[in-house]
Amino acid sequence: MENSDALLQKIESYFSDNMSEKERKSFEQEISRDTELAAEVALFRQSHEAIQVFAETELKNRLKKRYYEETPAKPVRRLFRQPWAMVAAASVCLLIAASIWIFFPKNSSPLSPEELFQTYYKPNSAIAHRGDDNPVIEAVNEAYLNEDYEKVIQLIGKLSPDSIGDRAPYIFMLLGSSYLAHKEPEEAISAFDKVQEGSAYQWKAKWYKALALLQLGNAVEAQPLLKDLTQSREFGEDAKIILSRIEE
Amino acid sequence: MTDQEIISALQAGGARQEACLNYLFDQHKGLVGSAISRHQISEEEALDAYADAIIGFRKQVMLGKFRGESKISTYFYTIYFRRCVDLIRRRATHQISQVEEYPEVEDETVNTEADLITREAFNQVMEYMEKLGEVCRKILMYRYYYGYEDMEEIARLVEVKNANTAGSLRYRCMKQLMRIIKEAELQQN
Repeated sequence: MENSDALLQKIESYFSDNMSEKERKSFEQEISRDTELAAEVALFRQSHEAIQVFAETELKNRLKKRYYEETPAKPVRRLFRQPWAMVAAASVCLLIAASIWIFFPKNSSPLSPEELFQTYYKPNSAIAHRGDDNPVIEAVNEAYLNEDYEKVIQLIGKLSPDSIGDRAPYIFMLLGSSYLAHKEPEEAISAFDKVQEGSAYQWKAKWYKALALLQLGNAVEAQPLLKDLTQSREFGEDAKIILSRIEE
Repeated sequence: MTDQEIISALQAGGARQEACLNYLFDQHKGLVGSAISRHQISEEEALDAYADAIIGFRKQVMLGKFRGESKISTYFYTIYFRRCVDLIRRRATHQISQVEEYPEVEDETVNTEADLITREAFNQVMEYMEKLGEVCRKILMYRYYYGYEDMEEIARLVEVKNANTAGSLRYRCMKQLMRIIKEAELQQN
């Protein structure tokens, strides 16, 4: 059977409920008599369903893109709008590149754990998210996003276990990260230890704990954590490099 | 927008539906951040669940399954948090205490899990659609998903000459998709 435009139009009307009761009944009788027409109708239905699945995937991607575009820029992004900040950033990049060149010459001279920490540590502003209905936790989020780590530590100290509830892994992740940024690695390790295995922050906590140990010069305890981290998509590559540097 | 305006815009289809989906998305997007800290899921996972919830809600409205017995915000919140809990369940069974936090919703149709298709079926569909050109994919999407009626509007969206071109492409593209599916099925058998 040739699926002419007129036939497609008819099938479309049938599916979109744009037929009168009489037309519908007549078309259904036609379908029951004509197996080729029935096959065309079934094929149209399948195609329609395929379009729905495809369009939903497209819509999902569009909405996610919208979220990332419209989520307020972090302070560091605003900073880079200033020309002087861009120059400063470029200088920092050059400095880092020079450091890498110095630290990783062709003969791969070993790095101390502290140097590895300096090379790989950077505060992670992407951990915190606004939108909590608890005002103290929301103030913690705000302080963290503003890189006011001292305030984060103070505010979290005021939270009771009841108010933290099931947000504990998130709160301890913020606390550990703040201690680390505040150059208090022992306190950071103790906070990261409280982030549960299996939580969304388990890899991040492990990574920053390993870095905190390196900052303390304790490569022995950092090693098993880094070995675990080689399984992580986010930190795996860096963990492998650090391990190879330690093992040298 | 009131609940009634949202329903009308979704059912009207076309540009009104698209604008309404953006509105709904922006209206409740704070839920992404709160789910990250509350349910211990990553931002990517929370956003996935949130976008799925918007799509699930749209589907319920289009199929006439949302009966308006609860407020849209409550209904939507429930769909979203079910999606989040699904993620948590998959990760660890001991972390599902949040189920108790669901608000009471009178609509029994809120569960959209049955709408999910298998990964295999999904890949198959995407394979069919990949075989169509980009213009065809877009024309079919605007016409048969968003429900654009005006071919002039579709012509503008997919950047073809005029409404007549878009109109004839619409049928040609549908026939092409039907042929692709038919051939794939013949090969499988």
